[in-house]
Amino acid sequence: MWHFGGRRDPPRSRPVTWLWVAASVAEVSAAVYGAVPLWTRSSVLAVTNGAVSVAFAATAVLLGSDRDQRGNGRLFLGASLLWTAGFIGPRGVGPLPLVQYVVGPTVFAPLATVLLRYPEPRLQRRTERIYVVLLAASVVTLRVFSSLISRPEWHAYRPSTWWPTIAALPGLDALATVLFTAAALLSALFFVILMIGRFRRSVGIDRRLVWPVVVSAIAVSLVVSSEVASHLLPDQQRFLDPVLSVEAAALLVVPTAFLIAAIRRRLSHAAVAGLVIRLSQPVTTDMVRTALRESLSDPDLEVAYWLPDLGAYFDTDGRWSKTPDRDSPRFTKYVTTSDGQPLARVTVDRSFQRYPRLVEAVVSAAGLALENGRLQAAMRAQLEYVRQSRARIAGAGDAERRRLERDLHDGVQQRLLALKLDLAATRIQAESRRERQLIDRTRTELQETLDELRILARGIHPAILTQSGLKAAVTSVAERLPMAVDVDIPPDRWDATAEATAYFVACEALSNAAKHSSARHAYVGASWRGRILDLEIVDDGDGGATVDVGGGLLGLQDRVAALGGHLTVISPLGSGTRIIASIPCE
Amino acid sequence: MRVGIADDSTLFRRGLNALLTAMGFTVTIEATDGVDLVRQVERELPDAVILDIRMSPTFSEEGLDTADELRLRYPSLGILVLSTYAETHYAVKLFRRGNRGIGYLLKDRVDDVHTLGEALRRVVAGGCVVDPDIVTDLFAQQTMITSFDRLSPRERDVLRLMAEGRSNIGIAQETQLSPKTVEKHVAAVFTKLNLSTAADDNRRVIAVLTWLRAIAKQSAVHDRDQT
Repeated sequence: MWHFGGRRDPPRSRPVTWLWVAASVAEVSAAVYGAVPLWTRSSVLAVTNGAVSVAFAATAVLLGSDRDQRGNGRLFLGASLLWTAGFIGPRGVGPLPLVQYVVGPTVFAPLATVLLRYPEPRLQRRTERIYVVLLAASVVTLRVFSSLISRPEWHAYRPSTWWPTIAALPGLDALATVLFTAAALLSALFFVILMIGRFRRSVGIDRRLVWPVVVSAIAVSLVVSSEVASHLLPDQQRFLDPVLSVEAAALLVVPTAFLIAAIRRRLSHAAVAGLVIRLSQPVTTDMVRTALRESLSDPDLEVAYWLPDLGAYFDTDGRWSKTPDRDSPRFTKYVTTSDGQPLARVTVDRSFQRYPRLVEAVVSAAGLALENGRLQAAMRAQLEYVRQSRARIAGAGDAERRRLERDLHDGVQQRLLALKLDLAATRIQAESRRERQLIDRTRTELQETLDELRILARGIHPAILTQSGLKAAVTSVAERLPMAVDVDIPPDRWDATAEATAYFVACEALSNAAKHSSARHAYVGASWRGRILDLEIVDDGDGGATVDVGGGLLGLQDRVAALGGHLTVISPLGSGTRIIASIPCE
Repeated sequence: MRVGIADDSTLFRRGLNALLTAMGFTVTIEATDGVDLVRQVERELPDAVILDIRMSPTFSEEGLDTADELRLRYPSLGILVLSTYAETHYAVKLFRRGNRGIGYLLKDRVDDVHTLGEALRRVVAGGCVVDPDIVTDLFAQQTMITSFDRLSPRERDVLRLMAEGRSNIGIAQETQLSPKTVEKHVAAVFTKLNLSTAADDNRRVIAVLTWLRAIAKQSAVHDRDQT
């Protein structure tokens, strides 16, 4: 079995759940109490209102069973209570109508809050917090104000209802109603904007869970706004009951959405089962990583394997993987083998901190595949190490050679040239023929030394390659050969090691063609393919060239391979020779 | 004649200075790189300058840039560019914008008093100098090409001397022929090689050099460095 680091969740505590259920039952009773007199007025309205209260209470219980969602569950309970208060007025008992009038509309405050913050336990943004507070405050203020300056019969209550009228001001009350309507519409609009913003910010597994909620929230806003707007219609009394029924029915969408979200949470755990089956086949490290990424819907998921021989974590490609910082935005899970040794490290998006058991389950399913993956990673790390050291050696060799050529040029050659000049100056002032002959002999010797030095330097590393690039250097070689050479190289400059390697390959190929194969024509082409230099040398000689031990081509093949490229020789007898090399640049 | 020299090697500068002085020239400027040379030339314009292709800061081809700058500002100044290696690439780049008063010589050759003096005099007079080694290299490749074969040995000599930048008079002197004969040969060369007849000595150097280089590549691919 594979074990996991990090805390394990304690099992959920039972007593709290029963408390929740009790509260919900009490709430439902209150709803029924309020719905019964409403029945006589409109049965549809009674049923839908009661259904909403019950559905909200049920959602509260559903959320309460999940430890992380207690806060959101409480909000639904509150919303259920406030909703009930919102249709309890027709009972007509005592201050109940007033409660309905003032408190009823505030139901949207806890509802908006839970929709904006699910599945987080708190509202994330200051805008959202301010919005909710303003919403509740404005609703209550306007309604309290209105109740103080109106009579109950203006709001479809019996005149004998208990009402705290201070002064009856019909004009002002009408204004308050208009303001209330305007505020409601604005709130609905703002709510839609906030929800859209939320959806766009959510990522990965959050988005999967959140979108049903978002969609339902937007739909409800639209319905509520139209209900509020309908109050502005003349003859509104006729439409009142049907419109209220539609609003209540629409609100049922919200608990339904939460139910869907909760089911999805369970289902995502089922994704693990599929993963187990996929990973039971032999897999590569890439497949393991892809499978994990798909199961958790996190395209940036990374897996790093602990290689005990090298004492560090290495990623899927065999490169050393840095330990994530403490304050990194990623969530890291460490996996150990059954005897407690480190096995692998998985890094996922931070939102997974809320689903540690899901991550554990997924990683557990990948356990055996991770073990195999570790072997592969070890092998790749070795290969990568070897490749890098070969490239370093090749690069160091070239750097050394360039340095040597420059030393020869700046040091020895300049000295010899200066000597020649001094001798020439002396010769002018020489007085006897013997002197002049002596000087001439010395100058000849000097010149021959210089010529030998030139050939040596060019063989080590030609200056024109460093100074003017691959095209100029290859052209220079081609010009000195007794055959026609077409040089098709762009005048660009590339990485020095790649240029040097390409130059020596071209040189070897061309000189082989000239010396051994009696070729009359040759072609040298080079082109750029991303970060790879493609080189091709073709000649029309006798063919039959091979990569022999001790031959120049083998050494070049090694050199090209050291840089991570390859060199191929195609040389059928009698059909000329074609050499193709691809040389990656750093 | 007043001459300026630029080279980053102190040894070389000293040697060249001593030689030029012994030859009877006056060395008025000694500079370490292109920038230094231009600054000193601004202060006091000499008759000719000799500079290395490879100087600081990049030690690649800045001599060519300095030559360009000088010829633009001082068209009457004779410029001799030295290179350690005989590379046709440099010659073509140098002559890209015309070749009045410009020469390209191997460093090896500067100790040859006769060649150095003649080269200086020719560039100061507005002529053009191309190191014979380069021309030889180009000629050596022509064995494969048939249009070259159509030239008589005399005509090939004339072609070679043209490529070295000499005027008809200069060619006549070298070959011991009369100027009239030289003109006939020159015309024949141009016809046989299908070159446009350029009356100007300088322009025809370019034409000849370019032709030699272009023909040296077997196919009809255009030479990207063509002037």
